[in-house]
Amino acid sequence: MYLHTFNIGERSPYRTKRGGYILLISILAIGVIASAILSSLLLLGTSASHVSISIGQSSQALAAAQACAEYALLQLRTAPTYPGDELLDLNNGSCELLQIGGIGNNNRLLCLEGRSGDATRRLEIVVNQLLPETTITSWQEVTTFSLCQ
Amino acid sequence: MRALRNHSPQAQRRESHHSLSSPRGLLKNRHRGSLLLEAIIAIGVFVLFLGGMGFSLILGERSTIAAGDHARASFLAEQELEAVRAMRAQDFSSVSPGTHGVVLTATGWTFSGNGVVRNNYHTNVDVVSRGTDWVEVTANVAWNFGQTRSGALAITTYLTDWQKISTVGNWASVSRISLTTISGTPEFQKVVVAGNYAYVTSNRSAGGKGLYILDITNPAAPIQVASAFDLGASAYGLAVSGEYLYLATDDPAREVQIYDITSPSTLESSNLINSFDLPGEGQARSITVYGTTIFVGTLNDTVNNQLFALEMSALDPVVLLGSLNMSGSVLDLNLHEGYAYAAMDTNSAELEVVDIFDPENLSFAPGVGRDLTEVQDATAIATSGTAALIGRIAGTSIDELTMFSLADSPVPTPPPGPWTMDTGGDVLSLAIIDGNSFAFIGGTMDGAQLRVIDTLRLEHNQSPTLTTYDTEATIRGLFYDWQKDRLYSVTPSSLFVFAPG
Repeated sequence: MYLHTFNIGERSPYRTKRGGYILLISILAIGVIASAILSSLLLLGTSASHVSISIGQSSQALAAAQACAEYALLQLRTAPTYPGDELLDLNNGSCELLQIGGIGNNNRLLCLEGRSGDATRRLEIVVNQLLPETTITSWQEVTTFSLCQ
Repeated sequence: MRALRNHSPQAQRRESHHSLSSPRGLLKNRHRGSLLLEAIIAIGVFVLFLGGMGFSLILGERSTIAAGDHARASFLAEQELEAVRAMRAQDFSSVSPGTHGVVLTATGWTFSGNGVVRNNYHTNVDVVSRGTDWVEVTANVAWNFGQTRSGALAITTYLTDWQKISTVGNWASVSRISLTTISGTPEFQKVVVAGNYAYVTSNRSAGGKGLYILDITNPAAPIQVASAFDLGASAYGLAVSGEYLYLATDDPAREVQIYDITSPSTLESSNLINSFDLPGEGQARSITVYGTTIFVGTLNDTVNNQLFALEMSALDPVVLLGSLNMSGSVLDLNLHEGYAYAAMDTNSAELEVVDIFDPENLSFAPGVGRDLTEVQDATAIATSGTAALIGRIAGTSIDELTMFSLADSPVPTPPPGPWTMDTGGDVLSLAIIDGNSFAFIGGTMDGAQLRVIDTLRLEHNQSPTLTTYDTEATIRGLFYDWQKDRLYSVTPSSLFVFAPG
């Protein structure tokens, strides 16, 4: 009968098996964490790209809304019966001028929506007086129009 | 010794026997072969993993840096546009067409060369003329910080010269440009000017057609157009908004009538695009419009309300939004900062103020209105800035013109004011030049049916009359044209055009 004896320094088969698992699980865990970090880095990079594109589109959308405001004020000064309700195309966006509120020289209301890509910016302007000098009561950006229908 | 023993032939034989004959031995042998392969695979996977990790890190970093470049470029483009906007605010003519760099100097932003490098970004603006007082401005930003860090963007907007100040003549004296008399008895009521046309309502009871249109392209010689048109009812108040003419008539079935005036010179019945039958029978007298909401005032009616808010649509029928019992006739209406100012025949409140923020729930402004001295009806109202002028039927013991301050509340709460003036006759129409102190009074004042006053002088209790004009007939309607600095007035059968000086 052959009796297997363990020498000093020789590992038990049970210990060897357990040690492998620990290593494997550790590698897997580190791998998962590393993968998560990598995915996050990639997503952060992609998100940053999207954000920068959104910033550009948002700037253009606001510029488009302001373009509509400038255009509408000029039209109103030229003809106070100018009704608005017009769509203007710019190079990188467009703007929509809603129907202008009020009649005559005082208390006119402008609602303007600029668009570029997925970005939309809205302006509400209350004109106190058109002529002889155009004075503005309020010029503010809004998320939704409250003064126009 | 153990090493020698282990390498002894016996030991090797035992080892060999043990390895080949027992399953454990076979397994051990197999492990030996697999170990290398596994190690190679593991190292390979690890290298791949490290490579992916490095690639992802580099890619993520590059994306973030590129995004930062793009965002900075957007902000620079915005700055360029704001700089040009600032230039426009100082002098529109300085925004000249062409491609320019924009630089900040001690006196402000100015064009310099055809481009500027700002933090290694190349920036310039393209200015293109789109018409009189109108330019298109495109801010361009380009950058190149290496193979993967280059790009360009552009933001476009319009700038117009809406901030320029139009000159108003000196109305301390007036000169008549033209007098146009329509034959028959048109019985003109009110006048509104829009573009190159004057729209005049008339009373049909004496033979008028209800509505007259005059081409005033040459104000010195107005020409009646669409002369075959007959409204079929008397019209009183009127308003023009966009391409529509709104009329308050005595037509019992459609007191409110809306005409398409795209082509005023060929106006005919088919241009009636919408109408509304108010409660009562032909009582509408005053009308004004805000966007798509029409406000109509009627004569006193014990059964029905006298102020109505309607929703206008070119395609759908006009809808009644709300109404309010004013307890009297609404003879004139004027909108001012979310409130309707009504000239009333009510003895206890000749001026009534209505909150119109919610047309479906019309309500009196806090304080309701003002009771003027005696009982003469208020017939005309005009507002500008913080002033409200109210004109009344003549009375021996009253001043027919009253001016209130609206500085403190929608319903005037004197003091300060009110300031009054004896005009010597009925005041039937009023007009104010905004941003100025000139105001016009039209009425029955014998020999001075048109009176020009200075409201500042009235406020300082000085004689406000600057000049008068004898139109030899009652002035029923006045309209000041801001674009041309001209005053239009109508007597029962004539249209007068006045200029300052």
